Amino acid sequence: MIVLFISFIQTVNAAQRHPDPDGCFSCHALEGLDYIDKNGVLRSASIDKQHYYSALHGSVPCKDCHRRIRDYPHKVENGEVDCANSCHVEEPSEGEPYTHKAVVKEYKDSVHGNGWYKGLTGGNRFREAKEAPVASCRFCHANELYIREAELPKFKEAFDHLDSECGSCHQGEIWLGQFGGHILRRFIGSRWNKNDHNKMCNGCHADHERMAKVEQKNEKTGEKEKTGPRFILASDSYATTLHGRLLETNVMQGASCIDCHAPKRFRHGVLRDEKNDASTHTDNLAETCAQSGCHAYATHPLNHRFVKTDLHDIDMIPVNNSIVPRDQSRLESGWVKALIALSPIIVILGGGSLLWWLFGGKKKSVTFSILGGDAFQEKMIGRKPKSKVKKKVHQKKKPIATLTRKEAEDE
Amino acid sequence: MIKAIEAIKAIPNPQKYRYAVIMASCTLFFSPFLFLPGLVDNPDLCGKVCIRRFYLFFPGMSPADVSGKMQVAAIGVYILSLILITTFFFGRMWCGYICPVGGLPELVSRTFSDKWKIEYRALPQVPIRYGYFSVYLALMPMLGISACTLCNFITIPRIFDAFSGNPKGLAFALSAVGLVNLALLFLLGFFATKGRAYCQFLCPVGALDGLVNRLGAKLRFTRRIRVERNRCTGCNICARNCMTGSIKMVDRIAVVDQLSCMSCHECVDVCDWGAIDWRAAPLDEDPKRKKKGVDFHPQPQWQAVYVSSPLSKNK
Repeated sequence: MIVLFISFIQTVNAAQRHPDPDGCFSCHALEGLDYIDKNGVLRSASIDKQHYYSALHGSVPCKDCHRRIRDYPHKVENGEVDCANSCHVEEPSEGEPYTHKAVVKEYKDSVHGNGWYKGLTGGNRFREAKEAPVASCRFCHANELYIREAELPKFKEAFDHLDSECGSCHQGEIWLGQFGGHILRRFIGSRWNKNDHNKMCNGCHADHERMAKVEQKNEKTGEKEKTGPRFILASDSYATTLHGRLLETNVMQGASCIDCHAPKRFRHGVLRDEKNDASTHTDNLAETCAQSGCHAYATHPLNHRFVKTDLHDIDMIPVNNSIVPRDQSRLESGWVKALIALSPIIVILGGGSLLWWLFGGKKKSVTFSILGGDAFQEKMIGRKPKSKVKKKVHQKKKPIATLTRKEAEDE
Repeated sequence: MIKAIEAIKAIPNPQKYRYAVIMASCTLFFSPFLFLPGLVDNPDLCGKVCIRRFYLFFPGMSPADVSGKMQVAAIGVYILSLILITTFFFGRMWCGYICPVGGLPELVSRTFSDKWKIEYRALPQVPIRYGYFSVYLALMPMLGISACTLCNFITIPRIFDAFSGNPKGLAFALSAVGLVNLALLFLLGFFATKGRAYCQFLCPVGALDGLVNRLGAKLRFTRRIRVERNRCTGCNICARNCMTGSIKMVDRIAVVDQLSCMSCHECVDVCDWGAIDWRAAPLDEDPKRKKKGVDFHPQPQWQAVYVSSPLSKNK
């Protein structure tokens, strides 16, 4: 009886996790479902069942996204996906179908908002890459595994105790069946850490040539302009900061790109610094830096300069002229001025050392530096430096060993 | 070449060992081998092994913020604690013998002629050091000036990176900040007399270490470089050789400034009279010498010996 009961539960769970009510897999699960598309590219329409079920949307029926497909065989074009559609599950607090609409809205308002979010098919990836200069949904959201393999045992163990732990407050089959796993994944199975986020951003932003082609709208003139080295080399300058260095060595206290640029809501709202709502706008920086677990003291009035620390300082990186347009403003940097002031001293001292080593310094005597040597003799040794002592004519003294006894007594 | 061999021969033996230890620690800490940072999977001396950042002060900091900073640089916290504890008992062994970042400029500087260097040792180093230290601790963080920009714990490892073929090292050495740091390395290191000007003025670890050194020097059982005043002849060879400028001749007697001394022992090695040594307790506990008319230190014995010896032979 117990065995029968357990097997029943397992079938119920399995049915919930593996929905294919429309029978799409009766064709798409077949291996070797290949065809050549309009562009002459060999494409595969086969879907690995196991892979799909374990992916992020594994519990979502195909037709929730591919809505225009009503019967089969279907046209390739009808496979289009609109990420802003409502879909699959009912959101428990409101009882309405879940939708990515709010996420898409946030994305549309962001700097990447010109990217594609609908009409996405497998066939138009190339066209998208050509036509859309900014990141679309699928630039970042490849349909990756739902839970990382390494974290699966941990997830399974927690899932087994879901009803006793989460279930003490969240009761009911629906909650446990539909949302328990989702939420648990966020706690345990979360796939991406800060380094993964950075890797995602760097997929485009570390590509200097690609970034050099980006044009931004000038808020004053309204015209599109090429970006400067600060934008093109943003990924490199970030890597020189402590934030970047900590993450590089897997110390997760460092801040990732989106920790500062899209810290709120759905984390899609990256905005330009000039925008009033931007998390990196000067007025909002203190709040952004003071996020939980970061620089909580950033909102203290005495730290108002601290939050203005330049985290994309191009003085920290060499500028490659072949990619970045020559920028005269770099020469106005305080660092460059300091360098111009210090260099001649180094040249004089270096040249002097070299010449001295080659030709001079044969006399075996105590040498004092040309710069500060006199002060050292006066202050530290307590003697007048030789250069300040008036030259006297000294009478030569006989060495002690040759003195007669009488002379020695006189001495 | 012969000149160079002669110069090496002239180095006192204990100092040769010290130089060797510094060179060994350069190999252990820097690229291409990176043995010690490699043990904790760190490519340089920054991030979790940084010993210079976790004590920075920001107004409005809570204890949680402090412990957060310490957690980030947990290994650095252990290293600094170890440095300070050894300093308390034995003097600044880390600074003088191990620190590769301070040691490398010193070694390079010693290969150049003293004539063409800047002599910083006459400057009032204690006020400058602790003045800068307080700016570093509180003012720079408040003003948003990154403590990393002038840190030679970045610069010197990056130079080694560059020579080991790591593009990151070269990138830093060619940036505006990197070039200014290189210039400072030249001016406060290679072209500074004895090459320790950065340690004297700017190093926050040195500043903390100096305080602990001074504190420990108050106790009788701790080992420090101390002068036996009865023996000092006032020849000033120790002051001339002191790499940190911590020996000053006061009334022709060497006086050691324990806030700056690194216990490198060079003064011990050059003193012909055994007047200065790394010892546990001061031998002369007399009050400070009085001035004018009072015999504040007995006439050294050696004068009489030296003058009388040839005469006694004649007898």
